[in-house]
Amino acid sequence: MAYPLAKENMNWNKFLVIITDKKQIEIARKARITNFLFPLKDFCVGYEKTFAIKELPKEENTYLYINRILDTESYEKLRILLKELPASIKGIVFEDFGLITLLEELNLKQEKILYQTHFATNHQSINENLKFVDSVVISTDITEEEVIKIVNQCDKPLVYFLYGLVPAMYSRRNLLTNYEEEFHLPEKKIAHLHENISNRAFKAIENEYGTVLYHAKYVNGVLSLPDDKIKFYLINPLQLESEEFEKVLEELKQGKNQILTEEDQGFLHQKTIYKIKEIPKETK
Amino acid sequence: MNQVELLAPAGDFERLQIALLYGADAVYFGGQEFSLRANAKNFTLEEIKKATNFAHQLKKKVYVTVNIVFHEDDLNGLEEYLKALDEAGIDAIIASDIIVLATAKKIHAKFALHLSTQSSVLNEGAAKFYQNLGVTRIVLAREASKKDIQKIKQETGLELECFAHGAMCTSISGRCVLSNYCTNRDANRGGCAQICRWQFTSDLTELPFSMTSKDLNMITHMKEMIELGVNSFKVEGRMRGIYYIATVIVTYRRLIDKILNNTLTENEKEYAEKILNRCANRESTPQFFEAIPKKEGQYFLGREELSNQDFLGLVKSYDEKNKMVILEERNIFHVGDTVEFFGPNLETFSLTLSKIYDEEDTPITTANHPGMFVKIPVPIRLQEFDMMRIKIFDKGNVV
Repeated sequence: MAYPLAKENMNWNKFLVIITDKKQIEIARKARITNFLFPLKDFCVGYEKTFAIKELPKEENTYLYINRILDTESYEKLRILLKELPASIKGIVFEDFGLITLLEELNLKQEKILYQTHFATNHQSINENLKFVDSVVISTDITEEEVIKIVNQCDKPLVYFLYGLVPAMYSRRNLLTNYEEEFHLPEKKIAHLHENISNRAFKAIENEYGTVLYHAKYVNGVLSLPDDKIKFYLINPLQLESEEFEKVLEELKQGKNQILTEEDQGFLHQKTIYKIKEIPKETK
Repeated sequence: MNQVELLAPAGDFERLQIALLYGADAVYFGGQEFSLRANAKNFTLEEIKKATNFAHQLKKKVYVTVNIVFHEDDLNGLEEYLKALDEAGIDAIIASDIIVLATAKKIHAKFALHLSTQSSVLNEGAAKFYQNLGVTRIVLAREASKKDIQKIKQETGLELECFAHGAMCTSISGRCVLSNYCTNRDANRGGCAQICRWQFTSDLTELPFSMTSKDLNMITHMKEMIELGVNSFKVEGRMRGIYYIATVIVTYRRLIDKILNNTLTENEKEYAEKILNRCANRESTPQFFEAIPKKEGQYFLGREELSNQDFLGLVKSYDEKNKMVILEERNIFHVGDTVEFFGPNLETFSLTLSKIYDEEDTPITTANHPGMFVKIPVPIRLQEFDMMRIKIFDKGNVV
């Protein structure tokens, strides 16, 4: 059991980077990363920049990202789009189970990776899902102990979220636009929100398909995991400046678990409460 | 038109009784394990058996929610729990986690599998996926539009259950862990602290940022939904009180019946809307049915919730000989107030209170102690579980 990034000869083949800005492609290439995940235009929420299929590079391992819960109209549009899917696309990472039916119906052979942000939280459910897909992205809402149990007990290598912003909420509503219209404010599609009681901050990003609130701190999930159980280490550099992204890649190489100031380890060391009776009396 | 089901929430046995007596065809509730609303009282296995027997005697159904997103430790006891539910004779479970569906299949459970709204199904492909796993009914995402309902029904023939009334999440169900961040309570395991109803500061303006949703109310689209093939209309609110349950259920019961026998008038629809709006503590709209809700579907300045004190008393019994009702008081009322009686088997009527007596038959002018028993002369025969409320709108017969 060793954290693969700490090895001398790092295996960059296992890094999968969500491209949230075209400039990141070059930076990632320089860092010898060859797996790119592109938020697909009209089928993703929570990203300022999304990509049409014709914009995607052909030389790397290119994956499409479809993270919307698809309504009927979008599902039908997606069916048309996927009928023309180039063979250069290596796989599809998706949230909606409708994709499993659709990919089967279209007889597409691309890799299928299920990324239901909050649902891959135990090995038995993941194994059930693995009967239909090639891999699953492990939830960021669980502890290190749970992650380790999962990766060791699942039937196929999984995708582990290594670094970046993670969604805390996905609404179909245009929450920023509605608010701005109510108060006659100029249109902004990104906002910084702060909840004062908990002192938690969130970045809200809206497009026409909804609004995603990301926890404002970048999750650094550097852990010691069995390399053979991991298909990809996922990185989401959303809203990182180019220099920051370079720094993140450079320091992830060294397995650092504190790279940027606005960073934490998510829930890896913070178990959430299932029932109120679990809260110690003095904190109720 | 299809026969349709009216499905009510039941936070405990009393609310379950009220819901079924007031016209629900089925009720849903959580057991003490594996259910969202982890902080509700919820039902023990013994209570589940009792509830199931009670419902079945009335030829009605019970559905038990097993709809948390399971973490590793939560898996312990799942199989035994599902076996126990099966032995209790429940009609269905409402689940979202695939392991629950797989385990139910493994034990050859007799109960049906209903897919929770937590799974957020909005398209035929997702519906077919779950159909292949043995799901017979899908509780569609609250974001489902007319087109989504129609297409899924057409392509799958599955039973479809839609939310008709009650609170809305701002988020797509299951896709929110704001509670986890702000309170460390796991939203997908029943700990939702409704952070979307809190206020935030933002870099947009000095004003507080709010994303609170108004409630859902589908009265104006019920007929259309029935025609689209919706099989079950779900009322949200396992934490709601008996007055709310009774009022909402009896109102929808009458609406559905009148739609089905084609006797619903515009006046009755308007009256029903007024009654429902009155008993809720927030405004309501049809939300996603026709289009994505815009700013009118939300609140922006505070929660704007009202406390409703219309519920005056619960009928405990009726003295036929003296034409006197015995009532348990819930909110203050006086001699001279004009009130309304309504109930599952009662045509709503109003009357002005001429006299009130306490338990010792002493005349009083005001009933002002919640829980006190009072006697009131009422010429029309009432039954246990009928209710008295303040009269607000004209509709019922005057006695």
